[in-house]
Amino acid sequence: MKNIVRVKYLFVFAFMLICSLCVSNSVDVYAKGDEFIVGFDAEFPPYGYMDDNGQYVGFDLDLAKEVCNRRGWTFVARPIAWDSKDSELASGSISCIWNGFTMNGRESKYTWSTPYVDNSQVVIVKKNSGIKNLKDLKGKILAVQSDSSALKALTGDDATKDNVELAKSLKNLQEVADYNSAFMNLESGMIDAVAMDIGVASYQLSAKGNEFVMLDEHISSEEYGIGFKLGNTKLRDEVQDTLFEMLDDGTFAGIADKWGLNDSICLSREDKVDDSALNKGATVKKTGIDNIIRLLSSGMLATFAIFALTLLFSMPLGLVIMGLRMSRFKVVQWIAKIYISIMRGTPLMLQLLVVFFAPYYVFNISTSYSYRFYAVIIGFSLNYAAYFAEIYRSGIQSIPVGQREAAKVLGYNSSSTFTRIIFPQMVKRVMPAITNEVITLVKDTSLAFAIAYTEMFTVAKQIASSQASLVPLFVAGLFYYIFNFIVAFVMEYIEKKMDYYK
Amino acid sequence: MEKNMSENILSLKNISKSFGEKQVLKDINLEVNKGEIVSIIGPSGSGKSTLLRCATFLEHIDGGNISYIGREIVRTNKDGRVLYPSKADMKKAYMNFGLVFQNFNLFPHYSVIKNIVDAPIHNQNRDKDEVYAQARELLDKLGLADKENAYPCELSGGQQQRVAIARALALNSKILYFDEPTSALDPEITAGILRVMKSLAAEHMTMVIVTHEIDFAKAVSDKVIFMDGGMVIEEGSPEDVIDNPSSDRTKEFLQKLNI
Repeated sequence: MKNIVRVKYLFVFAFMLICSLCVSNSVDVYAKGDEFIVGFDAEFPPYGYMDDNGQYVGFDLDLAKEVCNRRGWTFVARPIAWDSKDSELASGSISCIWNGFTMNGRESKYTWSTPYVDNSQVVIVKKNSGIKNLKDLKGKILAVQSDSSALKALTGDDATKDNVELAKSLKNLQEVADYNSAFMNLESGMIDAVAMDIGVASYQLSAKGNEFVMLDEHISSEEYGIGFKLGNTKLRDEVQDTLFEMLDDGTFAGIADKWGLNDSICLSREDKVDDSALNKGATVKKTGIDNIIRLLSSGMLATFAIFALTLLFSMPLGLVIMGLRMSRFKVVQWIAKIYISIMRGTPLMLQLLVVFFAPYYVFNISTSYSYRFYAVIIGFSLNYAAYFAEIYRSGIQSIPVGQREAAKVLGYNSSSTFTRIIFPQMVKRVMPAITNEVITLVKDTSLAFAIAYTEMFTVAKQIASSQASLVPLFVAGLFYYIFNFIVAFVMEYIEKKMDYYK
Repeated sequence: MEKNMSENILSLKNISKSFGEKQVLKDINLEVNKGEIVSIIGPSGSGKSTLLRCATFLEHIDGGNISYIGREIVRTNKDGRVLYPSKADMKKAYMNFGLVFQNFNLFPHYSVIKNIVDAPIHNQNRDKDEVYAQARELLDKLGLADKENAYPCELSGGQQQRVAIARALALNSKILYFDEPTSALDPEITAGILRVMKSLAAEHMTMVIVTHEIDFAKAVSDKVIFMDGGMVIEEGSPEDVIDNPSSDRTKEFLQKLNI
């Protein structure tokens, strides 16, 4: 079973490639008429996700497809980054958000269809964890998806008193990028519980067998609707009318049955939305720029920690790898070569995932909560050390052979030849290349989001999505720029310091 | 000049060396005694620089024996295997000689004085003050007293080569090797370096010089060796080898130089 899971994750990247091809194919099939582009989070079964064949499928997508058939529109399924859904909708690159999309708390941000699914927020724990109800979560780590209904229910402005207290009693409320990693975290014991929609929970429980259980107590109840750009009632009404047609002739129930959602659907003509209730003046609460800067500054600290610790470890480690790479022994040389080739030839994001999950999935060791940060540092250090090793090697090879010969006849042994003659000259020669790497590292720190470590960019994305504004991202960009400006200044200073000889 | 035959400094016996298929040294023998100045001349590719690099252990020989001051350091056993000593013994062997390179090979990140004192202090464990005093004396003698704190990149080629000579002399070694010390220099600067070497000759410094400066070789040498094709073609006093060469190849080489 474990093996299958492992293999699955390895193929996720390949699937993504295939899927992008599939999407473009489906466009070609319906070449006539208007395009109806459904924005969805491709990791949200059973509403919208990628199946084992790399196809986007799900309850919501089936509904949308049927609506398109009846309307004569071209159906396009567009997976989006959940955090950027508002920008996508605002820019018109998607027609609607149709993806188990919770209405509660977002009433004024979108033009909504009639709710069609009733969903509650529930908590999943590992079997035999001893957690029987919400009170037992005290002092535990609970995971929720970023900007999800569960997160809103626990910490949002409209959160109930009980939920606020529940959130406070936790050791940590961990935000994760998707439910897949939430379950991997749960399985490996890095977190104690996951809060999620009941539909998703039932699906995951049936898929993962009996390793997990759902708590009887629910965090909240909520409804799903289709979200359109604020004010786009025309499109909303067209889609909604078609849905009611489907409800009348039984198609809607049929599709719900196919996805096992019979118990959750709630579409009814009686609930048909009344636009007069819609407050046209409703606006999203905006936070001031000073508040954005304050929030980002806390993330900046994490970014700086990744940056500084990665340099601290990767620079000496690079030296060691270079030593192996230049070893007299062919076997050692090859090991270093393969290491460098893998580190440079695969995405850093993938390496972070491997470092984070390998202890559990490969060695069956449960890691502690704080391992998340260590994994970031280990992943970055291993990756950057490979680059530094090659930079050092190029520096050493550019030193004329006469330097070594002179050192030899002057009686320097091999270690003092390196420390006194070769190393100082190498440092000067590699400084420009090192500066490049260091600047890249500043920007690469944002990849820590891959294992849900909240550094500055993650914070920026969270604020951006909660405010439906790009300002936090621009501010984050400015932060990176200033950071790199300082880095470049320092590196230039060091280079100048070494300019006393040529 | 009266030769002091009492002490043998360098003894090369039956040295052979190949680079791949190409044999660059064929059964070379060379004896250098204390105070003796030996010049090695010959066309490019004749193996003269390689011979120097073998004597200074920068190249491993394929056969033969190398001795310094009567002590055998590299030897070839009955099976034809060449035996080099351990790292520690090797380090001691390096103390026997100094080498001046064609392109100086000063350490660019060290100041002039540091280039000279670092090896004696660090590798010979000599007294710091004594080494610094000796280094300043050498710089003064070579006309570089005011360059003590300069870096090699701030010096002319001739000045750099004088620093390199001072660096080799500061080791207080028994013999000094010069590998085409003036080939990278302008003619007028060459004259300055040759003057320095002549003054060393006058002090009876034991030297082996690979050079293209025939007139210089004639003027300072006790012995001149003409090499061609990896072999010693002719050896003897400068008068014998340069003024009255017996071999046709030597004659041909010297004639070409005169044109």
